[in-house]
Amino acid sequence: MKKIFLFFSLTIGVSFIFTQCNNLDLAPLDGITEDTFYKTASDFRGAILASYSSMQSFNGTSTENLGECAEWWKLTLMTTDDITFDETQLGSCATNTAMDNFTFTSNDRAFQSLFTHVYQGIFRANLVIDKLAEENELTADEASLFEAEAKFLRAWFHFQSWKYWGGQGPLALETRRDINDIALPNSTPEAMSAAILEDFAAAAQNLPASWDDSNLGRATSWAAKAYIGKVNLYTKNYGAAISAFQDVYNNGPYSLMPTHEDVFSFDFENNSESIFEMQYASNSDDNGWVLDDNHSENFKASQGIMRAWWQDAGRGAPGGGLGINIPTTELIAEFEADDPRKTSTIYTEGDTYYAAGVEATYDPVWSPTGATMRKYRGVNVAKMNPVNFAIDYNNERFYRYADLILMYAEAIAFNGGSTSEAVGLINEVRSRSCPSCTPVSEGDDVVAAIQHERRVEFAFEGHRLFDLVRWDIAEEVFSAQGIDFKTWGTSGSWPAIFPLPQSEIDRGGGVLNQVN
Amino acid sequence: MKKNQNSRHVSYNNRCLHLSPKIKPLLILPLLLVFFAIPAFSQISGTVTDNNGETLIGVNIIEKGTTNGTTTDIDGKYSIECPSDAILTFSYTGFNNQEVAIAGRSSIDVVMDGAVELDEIIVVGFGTQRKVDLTGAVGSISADEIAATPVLTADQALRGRLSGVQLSNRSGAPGSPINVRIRGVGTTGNNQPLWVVDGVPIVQTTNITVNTAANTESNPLVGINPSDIQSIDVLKDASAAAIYGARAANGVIIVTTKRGKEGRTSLVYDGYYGVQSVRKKLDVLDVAGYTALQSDLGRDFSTFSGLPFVDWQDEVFSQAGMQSHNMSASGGTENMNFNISGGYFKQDGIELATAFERYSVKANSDIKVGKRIKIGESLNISFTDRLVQSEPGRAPAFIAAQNAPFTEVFDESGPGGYAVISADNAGPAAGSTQQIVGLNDLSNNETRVNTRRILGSIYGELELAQGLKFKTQAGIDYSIGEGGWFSNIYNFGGASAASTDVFQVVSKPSELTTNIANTLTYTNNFDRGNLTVVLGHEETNFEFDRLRGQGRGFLSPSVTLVNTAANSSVGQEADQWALRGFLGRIAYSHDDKYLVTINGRLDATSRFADGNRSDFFPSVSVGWRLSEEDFLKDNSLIDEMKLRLAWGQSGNQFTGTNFAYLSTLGLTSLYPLGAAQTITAAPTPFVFANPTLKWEVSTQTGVGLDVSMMEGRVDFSVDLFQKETTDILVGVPISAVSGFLLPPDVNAGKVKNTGIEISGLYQNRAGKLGYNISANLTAVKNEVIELGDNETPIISGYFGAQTHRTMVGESIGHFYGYETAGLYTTQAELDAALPDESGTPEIGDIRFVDANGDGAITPLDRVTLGSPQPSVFYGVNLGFDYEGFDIGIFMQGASGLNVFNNVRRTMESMNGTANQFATVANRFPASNDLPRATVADPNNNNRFSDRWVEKADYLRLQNLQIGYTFDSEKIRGIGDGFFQGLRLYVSMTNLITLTSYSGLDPEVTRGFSFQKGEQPLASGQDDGFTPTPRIVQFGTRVSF
Repeated sequence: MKKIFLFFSLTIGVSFIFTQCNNLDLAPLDGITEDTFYKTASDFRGAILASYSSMQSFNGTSTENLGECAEWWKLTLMTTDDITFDETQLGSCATNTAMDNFTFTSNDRAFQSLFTHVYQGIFRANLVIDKLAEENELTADEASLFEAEAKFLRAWFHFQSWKYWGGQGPLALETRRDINDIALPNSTPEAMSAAILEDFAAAAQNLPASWDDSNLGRATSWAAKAYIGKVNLYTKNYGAAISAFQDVYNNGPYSLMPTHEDVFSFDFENNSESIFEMQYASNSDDNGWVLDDNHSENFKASQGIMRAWWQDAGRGAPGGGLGINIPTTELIAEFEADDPRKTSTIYTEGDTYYAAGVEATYDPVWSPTGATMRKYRGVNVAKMNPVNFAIDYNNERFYRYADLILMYAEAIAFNGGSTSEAVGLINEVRSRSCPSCTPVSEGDDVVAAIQHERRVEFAFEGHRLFDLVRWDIAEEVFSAQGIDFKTWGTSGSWPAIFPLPQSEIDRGGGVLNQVN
Repeated sequence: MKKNQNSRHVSYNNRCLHLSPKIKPLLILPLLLVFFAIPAFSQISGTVTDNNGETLIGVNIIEKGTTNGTTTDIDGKYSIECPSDAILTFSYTGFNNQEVAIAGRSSIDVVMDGAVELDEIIVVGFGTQRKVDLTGAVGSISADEIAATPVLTADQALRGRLSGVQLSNRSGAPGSPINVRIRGVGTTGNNQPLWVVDGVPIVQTTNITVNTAANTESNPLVGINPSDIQSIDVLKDASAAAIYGARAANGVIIVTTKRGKEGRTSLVYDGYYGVQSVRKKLDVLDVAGYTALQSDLGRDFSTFSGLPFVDWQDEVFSQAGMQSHNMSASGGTENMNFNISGGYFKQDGIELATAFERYSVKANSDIKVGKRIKIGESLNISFTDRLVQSEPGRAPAFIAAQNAPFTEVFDESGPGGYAVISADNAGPAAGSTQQIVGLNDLSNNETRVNTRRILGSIYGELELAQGLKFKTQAGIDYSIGEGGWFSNIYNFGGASAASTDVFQVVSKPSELTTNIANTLTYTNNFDRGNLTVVLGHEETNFEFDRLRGQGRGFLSPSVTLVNTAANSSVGQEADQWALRGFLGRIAYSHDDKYLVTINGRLDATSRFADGNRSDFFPSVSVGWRLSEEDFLKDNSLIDEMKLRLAWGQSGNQFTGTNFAYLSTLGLTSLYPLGAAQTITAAPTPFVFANPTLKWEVSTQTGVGLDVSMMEGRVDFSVDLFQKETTDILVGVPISAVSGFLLPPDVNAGKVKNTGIEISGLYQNRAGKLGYNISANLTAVKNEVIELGDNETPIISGYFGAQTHRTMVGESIGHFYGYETAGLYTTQAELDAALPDESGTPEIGDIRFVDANGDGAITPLDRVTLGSPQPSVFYGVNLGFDYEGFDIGIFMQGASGLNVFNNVRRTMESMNGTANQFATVANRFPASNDLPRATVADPNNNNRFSDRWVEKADYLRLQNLQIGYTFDSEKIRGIGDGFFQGLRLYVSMTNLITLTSYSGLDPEVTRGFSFQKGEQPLASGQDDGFTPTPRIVQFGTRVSF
C-alpha cells in the first residue's frame, strides 16, 4: 500500500507540473483589449474614426446578418420617384418591390440594418466621450476637440434617425453596458432635435474650421454650422435656419465647383463644395461584401462602396453590374434638353459607358428604361481602376455647398422672405450646373423652381424622399405613380417615414414602441 | 449495431480459452485411447475461417456431450477423431457457436459467424468496460458495419445504424461536413459531439477553409480512413460521457483504430470501384411552357419559341467514379503487435467542380517491456485534396435550372467553347441567365482545400503494483491546410459576374491541438466484487493561425504567386484556448449482478472569466443484471437481462468566440483619411463583452433495459431519456442601441429533449440459410423551456431573412411564417379580403391567414410552420447468408421533419425571367394549385409562408449489398497458400428514396451563407446544394 501512495503522489506531482506549464489566462491574439486602449491621442483618433466608419456601413452590406441589398440605397433611392428596380433582378433582393411601392413592413431587414448602423455610430461616439472621462494622456485641448468631434457625430447620426423615424427613435446620449438594461425608449421629436442642435452647437464651438491635409475628411466647425441650418430647416424653424445658412454662406470656406460633373470627379474628392463627405478609398485586398464590421471574416474590410455592383448596367451589359437601381422615365424627362446634369447623372443611348475594365457605347437594351445611373461613375471608373469589379472608391458627397445654397433659398422662400434673394441663390447653383439654361426669374414660382432644381441637381444623392416629405408633396407625387404613400407616424412636426424595426421593438421588451 | 453477448457463452468460452493450452495434452491422451478402443471412429479434418475467409487459430472443437476436443492450428486446420454420427461444437471468442453434424463426412470446413462478439469490450474513455458491465447508454458499430457502405468519413458509417444518433448532410459534395446529432439538438450553439480518436479529442472547427463561402468547409474527419477503424463507440448519455465533462454535452464518439493481434501476420487488401450518378434532377419548364409563362408576365419571347429545349442540368451533372484501395498488415507476438496500413481514396463529384482524394497512412503498435511496462503509439498521417465549387459557381444545378431553356450552353466561337449570354441568345432573360457551366470550368475558377494532417498519440503504461497502472498519453492533432481560389479573366455576360483580372486567394490555416492525459487505474477483484478506479488529469491546448493572401491582376494565369500581382495583400488570424480537467471514475460490480459507475470531472477553461472558469460534472449510474438473479438464472428463454438507471451532467464551453467575456477591440475597422486617403485603423469593439459567461450544463436522466434471449437469437434494448440543457450559451440579439449587431454570448435558456430509443435484433439459421433482421428507432421531442430574461424569441435566417424562430414552448429553430389558405378566385372573395400590411391581393393571389384574428394580415400573423428536426428516425438492416453468398439490405429514414425549399421559392416565384419548375403550368387560372404569375407581385405572394415549407419525411434504401466469400480451402489451393481468403461484392448505395419532398434531397441541413458552422438556429434550408449521389460499387477483400 505504501507503494501505491508513493506513486499516487507522483501522479499528482506530474499533473501539477503540467498544470504549471499550461496557462488558462490566455489573451486574444487578434485584438487589443479595451482596458489597454484609449490612452493616447492616436488611440482616440482611431476610436473616433470608428464612428465615421459606421457611416460607410450605411451603403455597405452586412451580408451575413442583414442581407446584402444595399439597404441605405433601398431606403433613400428605391423609395423615390427617381429610381425603380429592374424586375428581372427580383430574385436577389425581393423587398425592393416593397420599397418601391411602399408596401414594406416593420420586419424588412433594411430598417434593422439602418437602425443598427445609426446607433452603432452613436455608440462609438459615446464610447469616446466615456473614455475621455477616464484616465488618459490627452491634453485639455485634445480632449475638448475629441469631445466636439464625438458630439458632431452623435448629432449627425441622431439626425439620420430623426429623418427616418420622425424623432421617435431612441435618443442615446450614453453607452449602454448592462446587458439586462440596454434598450432605450422612444424619444420625442422635440427632445431629439433639441439634443441634435445642442451637440452640433458644441461641435461648432470646439471643432477646427479646417483640417490639415492628413486629416481631411473629418468634421469641421463649418460643417456643424451647416448642419444647424439643415436641422432647423427640417424642423421648420426657418429663422434659425436662415441665420445659420447665412453665416456659412457669408463666412464659410465653401465655393461651388466649376461644373456639376467636377463635383463628382474622382480627382476632386473633398473639394471646395464639400461640407461633409463619407470617405472611401482603394484597398488592396478589396472585398465589397466585407464592408461593415459585423462579419465573421477576420480579414481587412473593404474601404470601397458597392456602387458598381448595384447600379452598373445589367441585362447582359459588359462589366458585371446588376443594374438593380434604374432611373425612372420621369426623372429622365425632368432634365431640360441641354442640361449637362443629365449626362453627368445618367447614361443614355450612345454615351460612353464605363465599368471595371470596360469602355463601351451605352446600349439602351441594358436597362428597362433605357438609362443607367452614372453619377459618381462614368470616366471616374477608369481613373479609380478598381481592384474589384463591384467596387467604387469615390467618396459620397453627403452634404455639399449647392445643397446648402438651395436649402438657404428654400428657407427664405418658405419663411416668406425676399424672393429676389431666393432666386439669386437658386440661379447661383443653376447657372453653375447648367450655364445654357434660362435662369429663374423673380416672376417664376420660386418653390417650383427649387423643387425642379433640387431634383436634377441632387438625383441619386439620397435627398429626394426627404425633400418630398419636407415639401408636403410626397403623397401627391407618389399617388400620381399609383403608389399609396403613407407615413408610419405623424405625431411630430416631421413624420416617421419608416417603421422602427420590429426586431428592435421585440428586443426592447416593452421599452420601445412602434412609431405613431 | 453490435449485439449483446450471451453470458453463458462467455463463461464457457473463457474457460475453454484459459484452460486449453494446459489441458490439451491431457485431452489428447484419452482421445488416443478411445481411438484404438472403438474402430467406428473416423478422422475428421478441415479448416475454420471467419466470414472474411481468414483462418482462425485456436478455435475450440468439442465432440458434443463428451470431453473429446481439439483446437485449430496456426493455419486454422484441425483434425479430430470421433464417431461418424457425432456432432461437433465449434466455439471461438467473438463468434457464434456452431454445431455441425459429421454425417459420415471426413472433411468439414467451417465458417464461423462473427456477428456476435461474446465478450464485447466497449471503450468508455480513459479505459474500457465489458459490455455486460456497462451502466450507461452506449452504442457501438464494428469494422464490418463500417465496411458495409462506401463511406469517406467515419461519421457517415453511423447513418441509421444506432438508435439516438441522427445524421444529415451539408451537401452531397465529397468531403462536405455532416451534422451528427446525439439525442437531438440540445443547444442553440454547438451541437456536434466530441470525437475522440485513439484517445485524442478532435477539435471540430471551421478554420480549414478557403475564401469566405461556407461551402469550402470540410468534414473534420476526412483525414481518418474508415478502413483503419476497428470500432466506433457512441457514449450517448452523460453517465457514460461525463468523464469527458467539458465537451461531452452533445455526446462523445470514441473511434478506436485497428491494432495487431498475436498470431500469424496477415496482409489484407480491400478495395472497390464505384460509379456514382445523380438520383434526381429538377423538373423545369420546356421552351413552350417558359414562353407561355413569360407571355403571361408581359414579356415577349416569341422569337425563341421554336428553339429546342436545352437542359443545363445535363451539363452540371455527370456520372462520376470513385475508388478506394487499402492494404494493411497486422500481426504480433506475445510482447508486441503492430498494424500498419496505407489507403488511397478518390471520389469525383457528380456535380461540376467537386472531387476528393485522400492518401492515408496508419501505424499502430503496442510493445511490452518486461512485465510491467507497455508502450505504444497510434499514428495517422493523411493528405486530403478537395476540389470545391468556387464562389461564382456554387449551387450549379439550381442556377442551371433557372436558365432560359432555349439558351445553348456551348458555342464553338465563344470563350473556351462556352456561349456568352446576351440579348441575342437569352433575350430579356439575359439578366437572369448565368453561364454556370463556364464558371465552373477549372480554367476559369478553381477552388481547392487541401489538408496535411498528423493525428497521433504515444502512450506509456506502467504497472506499479498488482492491479495498479499508471498511464500517460500524449496526443497531437496537427493540420496544415493550404487552399486557394484561382479565378481567370472571363466574361460570360448575362447574370454571370465578369472577372476582369487574374485573381488568386491563398489561404494557409494551421491548427494544433495538443493533449496530455495521465491516468492511474486501480482494479481489484474481490470474492464477490470487481472494482475499477480511474483517476486522471488532462490538458488540452488549441492554437490556430491562418495566413491569407490575395492577389489581383497577375500578368499570367500560370504564375499566381501573390506578391507578383498588381494588387496584393495579406491577412492573418490567430486564436487559442486551453482546457484542463481532473477526472475520476469508480466502477464496481457486485456478484456480477449489481453494477455501479460513478464519474466525475472538474474542468477549467480559458474561455470564461476567472471566477467562472471551473465547473464540476458528476454522473452516477447503476445496473442490475436480472438474468443473474435466481428467479431468471435457470430460465431457458432469457440469456441476459439488464436494467440501467443513469443520471449525469456534462458541459459545453464552445460559443464560437473564444474571448467572449473580454471586451476586445477589433482591428479590421478602418477609415480612409486625408488628402492621400490613408486607410487608418479605427479600433472599436465589435461584440458586446459578457464577463458573466459560464459553462452550459446538460443534465441527463435515463433508464434502459437490455435483453438477450434464445441463445443470442433475439436481442433488444430500450432507453428512455430526458436531457435538459441549462444556461445555454446562445448569442441573444440585443437592442442595437448597444452599438452592436452581433448577438453577444450569454447563458440564457433551457432546452429539454425527451426521447425513447429502441433497438432490436433477431437472427437465426434455417439449414444453410442464415438470416438476421435488426432495427433501431428513436423518437425525440425538443422543447425550449426558457429563453433569457424577457423570453424574446430569436428570429433567424440567412442573410437577415426571418424564416426561423426559437421561442419558449417550441422546438429550436422551427420555421416561422405566414399560413396560407388557397387563392382568391372570385371578386367576392377578394372583396372580403382582410387588409394586409405587406400587400394588396388581386384575383389569383394567395390568401394569407389572419392567425391572430385581429382582422388584418400583419407580421404578427406569422406562426410556427414545423421543425427541421425529425421527431422520429430509424434504421432497418436485413441480412442473409447462404453457402458463401450474403445479402445485406439497409434502410434508414426519418419523419416529422420539414424543409424550407428555398429552391422552389425561386422556381415557383413566377415573376422574373428565370426559368421555373414544370409545376407552374398549374398556376391560376388554369388551376388553383399555384397563384397567378405576376411581375409586381402586389400581394407579396412569395413572402415566407407555408408554401415553401415541405414535409420531408423519407425512407431511404441506403444500401443493398450482395457478396460472395470463396471457399477458403479452394482459395488456399491457388499459389500454394498465397491467398488466404477472397471475398467479392457488389453494393448499391442510395438506391431508392421514398419521400414527398420535392427537392433534390430531403437530407439537408443548412443554407448557403458566408457564416461557417452548423447554424442550428436556421437549419433545414435547401439552397440547392449537391445532392447525395447514387453509388454502384464493386469491391473485393483479399487476404494473404
